[in-house]
Amino acid sequence: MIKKTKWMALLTALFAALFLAACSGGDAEETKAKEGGKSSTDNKKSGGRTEAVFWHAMSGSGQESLDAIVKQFNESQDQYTIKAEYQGTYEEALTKLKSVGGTDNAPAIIQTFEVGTKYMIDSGFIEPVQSFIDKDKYDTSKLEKNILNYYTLDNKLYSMPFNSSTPVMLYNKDAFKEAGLDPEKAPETFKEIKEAAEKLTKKKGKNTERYGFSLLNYGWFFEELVATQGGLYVNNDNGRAGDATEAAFNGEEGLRVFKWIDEMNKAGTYGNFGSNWDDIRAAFQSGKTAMYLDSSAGVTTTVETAPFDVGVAYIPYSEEAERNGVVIGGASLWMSKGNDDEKKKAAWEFMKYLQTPEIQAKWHVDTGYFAINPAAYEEDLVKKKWEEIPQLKVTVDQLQSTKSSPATQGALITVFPESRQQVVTSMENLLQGTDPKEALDRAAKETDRIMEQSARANKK
Amino acid sequence: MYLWPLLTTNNDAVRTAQIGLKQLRTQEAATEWGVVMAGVVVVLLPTLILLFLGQKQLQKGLSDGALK
Repeated sequence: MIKKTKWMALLTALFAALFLAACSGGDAEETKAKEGGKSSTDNKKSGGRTEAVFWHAMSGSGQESLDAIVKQFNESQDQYTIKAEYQGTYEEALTKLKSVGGTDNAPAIIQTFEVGTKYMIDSGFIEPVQSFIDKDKYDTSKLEKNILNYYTLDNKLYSMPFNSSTPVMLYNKDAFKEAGLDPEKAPETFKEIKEAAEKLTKKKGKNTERYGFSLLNYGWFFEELVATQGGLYVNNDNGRAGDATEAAFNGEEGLRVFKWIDEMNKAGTYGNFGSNWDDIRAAFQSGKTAMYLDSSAGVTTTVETAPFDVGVAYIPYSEEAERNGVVIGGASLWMSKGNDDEKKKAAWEFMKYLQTPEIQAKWHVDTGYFAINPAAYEEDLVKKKWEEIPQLKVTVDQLQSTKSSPATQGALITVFPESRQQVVTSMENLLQGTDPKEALDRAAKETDRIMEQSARANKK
Repeated sequence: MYLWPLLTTNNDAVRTAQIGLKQLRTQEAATEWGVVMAGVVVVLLPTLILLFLGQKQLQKGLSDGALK
């Protein structure tokens, strides 16, 4: 009995200690926490500085870099304070925005992914950055045109591009040598990839030790493979000449992509590693697949950690079409409409600061995202990194050689995330043996249905 | 413990460990798994210590109720 009481006392003490530890953490931190807990979107003035809240979705190394940039900005001048807050993934941040969007409780700046562009434009939550560009006579010609194109509609730039990426093809140079292929010359067309994949596939009995080619089952890559052939995703010039009403990705360009995947899949040279970025990267690094498409933002880490020589090449295109280039992915920064002018001014100053070559150079080197301001590529920091990892330059070259057209500008649809999901489902069906045309048409039909529903809902 | 705290708080100082762990992973760029592992271990430790300390009581409680 005595022993038991002793134990109880010990446990109680332990709990008390844990509780106190969790609740203290220093006075300064506590007050800060209290402020934050209440509502940090109270962009209030403190000591003559205007505080503007910035919601972002950068985690991991991206967040480290971003926090450092924000700190630098706050120290560089004494009028504005930017408060960067992580709000989960792009989807989660958007969900959160929906409850406060348009009011003065909304953050001054919010980072949203590229497929949310049309939604944001239509939402009424935002102030196009073009109004500040005009007021301030800010020169946008120094920024990367192929990136601005995406966020421009009716000659108006709606949001400030921030973290932009494109897909590239990564391949295992050692495996190329082993298979008797030239490691310095990557296959470029669908046909060349198919042939190379056959040589690269290594079988041991019934098991495939190494697949020739893999694609992450994510809608973005399909979109890119259609766009590089000059194909549209939806009608009305990809939704840029007017609201899109019908899917167009099941045309010949899209069908070529699906047929190509189907042929490789049936030949046993296509490795399916699901729809998780980390899985396909692990498969590549452990030599289970010899070629795959990845985001340019993932290149640095892959090159640094892979136990073999990694080659980076442009994404493949169909030999029946011309190479048009890539559509950018990633995210941009939007300015809230409901905030007062002071806060908008703060947001604008920060956006301008982000586009300076020094900051862009740091951002590019830290994360692998593109520099929105190409002058950054002349900075010593970038030059040094490119010497270390020459593969990074390929990603920039691919972007800069892109031909501007509605196809490579990218599609604008309100329900893009939903449509992407349909394409992913169809890809899965295709890999299970569904006929390419049937699978693709299904996704297109579903997309039509979702678009029609959303158009009807918006009319009300 | 993930979505609700994420929606209701804005400050890192008051957020739950689950959100912190999520922040160690990246979305588009490659994740540094070593850092994630370290984070998970640190978060796990308090619960683990508590379990070892109270294991006897826990077992006793479970078996007491289980016997007819």
